[in-house]
Amino acid sequence: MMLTLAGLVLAAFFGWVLLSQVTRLFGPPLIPTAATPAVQAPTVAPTPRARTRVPVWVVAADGTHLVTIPQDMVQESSPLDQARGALDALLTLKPRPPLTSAIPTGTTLLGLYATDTGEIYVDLGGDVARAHPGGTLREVLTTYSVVHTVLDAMPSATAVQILIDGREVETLAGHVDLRRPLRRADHLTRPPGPSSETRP
Amino acid sequence: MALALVGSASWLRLQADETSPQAQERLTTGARVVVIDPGHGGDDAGTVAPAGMPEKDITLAIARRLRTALDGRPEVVTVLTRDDDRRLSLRDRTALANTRRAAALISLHVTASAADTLHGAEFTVLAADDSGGVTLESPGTPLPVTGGGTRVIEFAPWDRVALRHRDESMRLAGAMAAAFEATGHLSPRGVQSAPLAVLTGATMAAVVADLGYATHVDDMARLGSAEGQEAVARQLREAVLQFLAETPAP
Repeated sequence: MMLTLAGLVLAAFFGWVLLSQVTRLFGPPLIPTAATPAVQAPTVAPTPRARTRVPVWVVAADGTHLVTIPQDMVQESSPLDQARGALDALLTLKPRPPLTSAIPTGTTLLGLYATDTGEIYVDLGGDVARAHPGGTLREVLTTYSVVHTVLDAMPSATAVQILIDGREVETLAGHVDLRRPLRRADHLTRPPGPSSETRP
Repeated sequence: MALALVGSASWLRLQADETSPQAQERLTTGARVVVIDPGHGGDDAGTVAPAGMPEKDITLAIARRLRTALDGRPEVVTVLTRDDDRRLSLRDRTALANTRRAAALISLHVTASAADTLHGAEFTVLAADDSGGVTLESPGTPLPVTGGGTRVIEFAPWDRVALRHRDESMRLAGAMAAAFEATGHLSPRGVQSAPLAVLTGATMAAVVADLGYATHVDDMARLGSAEGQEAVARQLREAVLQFLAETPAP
């Protein structure tokens, strides 16, 4: 009697073991839990790209000088790409009054090229000339807002020549000589004032 | 240069006052040529005030008045780069002054600003610091000449040759600034320097005269009226005569 009872217990144990193994082999997949994570493909968390502040030049409240508005932007690995980013910011920037943009509305960047001697060629769409309001001073400030923005974003560059629609031009609106690369004109610049902020 | 002249034969005709017997006589007795350049023209209106004459019309009107104001002076013969509403390239305007061996080139303009409080005339000469790092003080190159021997020839980049005349240009600009300051019509900016295209390649004293701001109401009232234009022409006349008096003929 005792032997029969022991045999039944033993049989039940082996039956439980067998059943649990069969269920594990052929049953539904286990649902991963936090305690027992399932094996999964390794994921790479996005690394935030380094950012930098690049000065963009706009017209000061007095209408006679240029001041900077620092723009927060991605740190590009290529200096030329950094200059492109700065120019994109310059062309679309809407400064908070009394600061004003020297760039005519609708001006587009068609291309940006560098020579191995440090000269940068900025190819702008024709609206920069067609929409320009004219006047010697305003044309001077438009030209040098481009020149200084590029040279600040790309310290290895030495001079900037503006092209329009892919061509070398005499002037933008009848005054400043654009037939050769231009260097900085620091007498046109002023340190940034407290109102150097952008309008969202 | 030669190509520019051939391509611009239409404006190379002599202006009436330069071909007159009186002008020819003055030239033979040492009078010097002053080229007056009315900025813009034709389909290039220049800057346009919200209510007022376009820049091209103001500059032409004052250029004609300045020519009249100088007419009859024994020491000067005037030439206008344009005497009607036509477009001229800046290169052609400079070339005309060079071919006339002018003592002075005065390019008349009206400026503008984002700040509508700015007013008054201002004068710009070619910027010396835009010479691209090339100095004009070259030692020169000795070249053989007919009959034997050598002559030292100094070479300068064409687009920077005007820097040779910077001192003269500053004197002309200074005379203009003084004339306008005397009547309270000088901008606080006074005399400036910038790489302006019409000044590049000029082989004489050369100044861009911005006679006022299109963005200032009082300036436009002055520049748009006959009385104001006459006053501006008189101020320019005094400056030109003073400059010529202080500048020995070459």
